[in-house]
Amino acid sequence: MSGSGRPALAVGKGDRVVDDRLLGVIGNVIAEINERRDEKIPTDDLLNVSLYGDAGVFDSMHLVNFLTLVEEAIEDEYDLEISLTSEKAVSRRISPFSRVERLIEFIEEEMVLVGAESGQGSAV
Amino acid sequence: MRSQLITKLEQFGDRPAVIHRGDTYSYRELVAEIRRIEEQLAAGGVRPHEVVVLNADFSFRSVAAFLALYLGRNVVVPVVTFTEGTHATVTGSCHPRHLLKPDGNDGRGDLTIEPMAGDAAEAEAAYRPLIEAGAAGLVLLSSGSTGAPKAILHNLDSLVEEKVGTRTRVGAKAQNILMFLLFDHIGGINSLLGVLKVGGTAVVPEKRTPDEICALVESYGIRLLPTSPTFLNLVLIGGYPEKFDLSGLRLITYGTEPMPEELLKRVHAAFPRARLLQTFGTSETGISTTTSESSSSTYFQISDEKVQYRVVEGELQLKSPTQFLGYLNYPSDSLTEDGWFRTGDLVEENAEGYLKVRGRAKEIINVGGEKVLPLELESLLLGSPLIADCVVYGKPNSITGQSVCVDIQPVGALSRTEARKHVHEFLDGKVEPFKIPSKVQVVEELSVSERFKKRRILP
Repeated sequence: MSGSGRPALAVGKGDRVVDDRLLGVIGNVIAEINERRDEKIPTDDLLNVSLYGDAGVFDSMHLVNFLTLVEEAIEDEYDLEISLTSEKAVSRRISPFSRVERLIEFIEEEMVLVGAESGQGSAV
Repeated sequence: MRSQLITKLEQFGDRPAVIHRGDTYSYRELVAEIRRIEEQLAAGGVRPHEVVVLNADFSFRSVAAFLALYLGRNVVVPVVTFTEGTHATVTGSCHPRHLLKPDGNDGRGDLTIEPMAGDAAEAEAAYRPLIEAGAAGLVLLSSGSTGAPKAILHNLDSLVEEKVGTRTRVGAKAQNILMFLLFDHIGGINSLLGVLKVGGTAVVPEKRTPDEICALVESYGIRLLPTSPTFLNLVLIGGYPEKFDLSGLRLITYGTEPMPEELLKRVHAAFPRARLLQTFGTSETGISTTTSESSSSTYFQISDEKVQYRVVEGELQLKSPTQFLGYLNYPSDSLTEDGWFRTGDLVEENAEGYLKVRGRAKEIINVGGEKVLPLELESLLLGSPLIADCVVYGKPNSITGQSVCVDIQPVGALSRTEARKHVHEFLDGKVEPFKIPSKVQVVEELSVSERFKKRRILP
């Protein structure tokens, strides 16, 4: 599941357009985590970084810490409160934690749901 | 015992018993007020063993009413403030016949007695052991942080006998005690009985703000302040030791919640002349006599010869002759089969036999099978010069079960990102990695209960 060699900025596998702003949010979180980490998480192909599982960069505890930071960053950036550690996230057939790209897809879906519930874009 | 109590109070004569709103009332006046209220109770149709809700905080008249009800062998249910929960528990489980407001509806008038609809037959069944013993009763309501408040029934005769005793020690040095703990709390009742035991003076605050409490300590030269760690921290954070002369304090007791070690160091530095004593008790077993290892140690000993203790799987269990008779509205599942009360407090014991509270069993945070106790982290974090106060709690998630969260009240301005980095750096190397909070929030102030305990979200 490692990168395919192309620059990972805006286009993920299947040529799907990935939200740059969200990718930036996650990049910042990874950068903050890397400050305290001996074994740095590679950021040159962020979309394809595997978060959890066999090739994952996090164990379960660090995954929760990472997701909490992402939740906070989304709250700061978009004023939306979403949960990335819910039963829904965990029980997906294709795990949102397999690759950053999958996580971004999940975040986008959750943001649409929360945004719709709370009117327009305000925090719930 | 009843007539002995009055004799004892009469012997204290003109000593000040209660100071409230600037007025001083002597023991002689207290006895006269008790006699007057006894007549009012009789005229109001209050009969022995009936349940009377005493809706009041400490005041000269509420103290007199409490003692009059004790003398009348009534079951007293003190309630400072009615909430939906306490009202439901009182009317649903305590079978009250009378509502007594010693200072009237506005807290400044004369005593009023109103009828309540408690069923006499149900009351007789619920309070049978007291009726058979010819004893007065006391019902304390738990704070009800989890579910409806528990109604905890005590034999008031045993409590008074144990705490006030029959020996009169008129010569003993009188103490001014600030009635910081509430009238409907075991700690408040214990403070009151402690005052009566030595012929001391109960100084009653109007409000329990750091301003009011510190002003009273200064004006009345208060020597003994029973309080809670959270309140002591509010006093320190507000810089009150510099604003008021609190040097008269000789003994500060702290209880109702565990004391973080770092906070104790701060308190000790701010009050170098006062002895700091950990009190320990529960609404069910009463307050035990304790000795702290030192003023800067959170280790303490239960030095109460009547109280037995044991530690079972890390939990402190107590047995005392004055422990509660039972709950009126809950099964007594907090008692073991052999009659020990499970305090729910996790303790460790050092080689010298001193105990230290590590936290409440129900507060344990379980991170993927690893256990975290909030107090350990709070104690460490209070050692940071950037953190005025903090509360650690667990938050459920579907990956590790729970994760560790902390709300920080910073000393100066601190952003969430700065606070998070600081917490991580500060704890790094001091605790195992799984204990490091995954979520750090910055708050203006922490939520504090009316009994001056930190409000903590339970996992």
